[in-house]
Amino acid sequence: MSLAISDTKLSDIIVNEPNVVAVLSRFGIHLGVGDSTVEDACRTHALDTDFVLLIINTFVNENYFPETVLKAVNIADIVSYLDKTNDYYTRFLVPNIERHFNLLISKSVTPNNLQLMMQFFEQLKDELSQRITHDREVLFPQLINSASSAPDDAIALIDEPNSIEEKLGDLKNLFIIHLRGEYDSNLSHAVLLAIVNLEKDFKQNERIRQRILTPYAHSLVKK
Amino acid sequence: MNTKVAILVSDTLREIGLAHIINEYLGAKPVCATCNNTAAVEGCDIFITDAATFAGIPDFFMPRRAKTIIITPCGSPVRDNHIPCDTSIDSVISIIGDKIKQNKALSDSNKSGTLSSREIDVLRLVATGLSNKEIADRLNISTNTVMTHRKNISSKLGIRSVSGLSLFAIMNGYISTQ
Repeated sequence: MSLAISDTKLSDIIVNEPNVVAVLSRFGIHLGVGDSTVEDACRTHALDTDFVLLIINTFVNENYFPETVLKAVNIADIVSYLDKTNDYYTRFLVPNIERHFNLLISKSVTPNNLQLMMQFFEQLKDELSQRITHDREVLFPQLINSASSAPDDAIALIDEPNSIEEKLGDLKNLFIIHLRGEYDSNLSHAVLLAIVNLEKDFKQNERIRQRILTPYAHSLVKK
Repeated sequence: MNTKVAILVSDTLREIGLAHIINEYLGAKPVCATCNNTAAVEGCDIFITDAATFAGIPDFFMPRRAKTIIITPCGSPVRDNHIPCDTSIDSVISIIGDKIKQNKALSDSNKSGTLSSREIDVLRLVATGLSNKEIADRLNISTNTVMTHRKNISSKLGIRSVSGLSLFAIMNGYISTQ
């Protein structure tokens, strides 16, 4: 889809990429958008239109790399957005997988493999929650501080590699390619879709971290 | 891997149209170049050109003619690897699409199917947590070979992380859980 601009209708953006509702809800914009444009909604919710557009476009378009917009970005806005994203994972997307997964295991005749896969998911969940804790307690406060005081080594904290994205892809493929035995078909679909949901949101937000947060932190240190 | 399709035509509009079809309808990657700059299309899987460009740089095209599709003037006879100018868009898509399929079949033929016994050896050792270097020593092969095996294992199974590979190995009885 072409880039969203300030007078693009929210409904057009959502119809094109329904997953964006999760992003909009982090800004307090919920379904029932009527015919309001991005600018209208930002005015109503007292949001910075450029920042909201930056997030939407990075989320929707894989190749969007907003070099000029970047310079004007307010770090507090990004941190607040990513914090809400983390919150959305912890409170909604991860429990959503867990709930369906447990149900699938309890309704399946031979759940051996599923239990092993559940263990794999638990590992992934731990890794994700460790990162979220690290974000909340170390990275985010440091980024906020570095905006007002002398720069520090925030980059090292951001560039830390993580295998969460890789493991989400593995878990998805374990279901798609390697599932064996007798299991409840509808529930297995529900688990798969729940995983895909998290994977997609996570990937898109990794892009936001890599393309906005990382260059931002680098620019701070260069000053 | 996306198939790379080189477009070497003298007409810009034609180039844009072909690039669009290749990208939007066929999911392949178009690479455009002029006949003065064939280096840009080095390594492409398929080549699309017009008769004049083909004739202009025969040294480039003759070795690649099995992978080349030629756009011929309106009303030319329909032949293998030829697209007359007045061909319908459906046929253009299917001619280029078939070529892409052929190319994929060739490059996939040594990758599809189940793990080889050597790959299973490597998988077992990966699953027990050994590093590439340790696996290389254990199997008396180079680290590069180990890495190639791992790449092939991951692309066959769709699993990349070590813990995912361990899980697969346990699920399939390649290693035990004790």
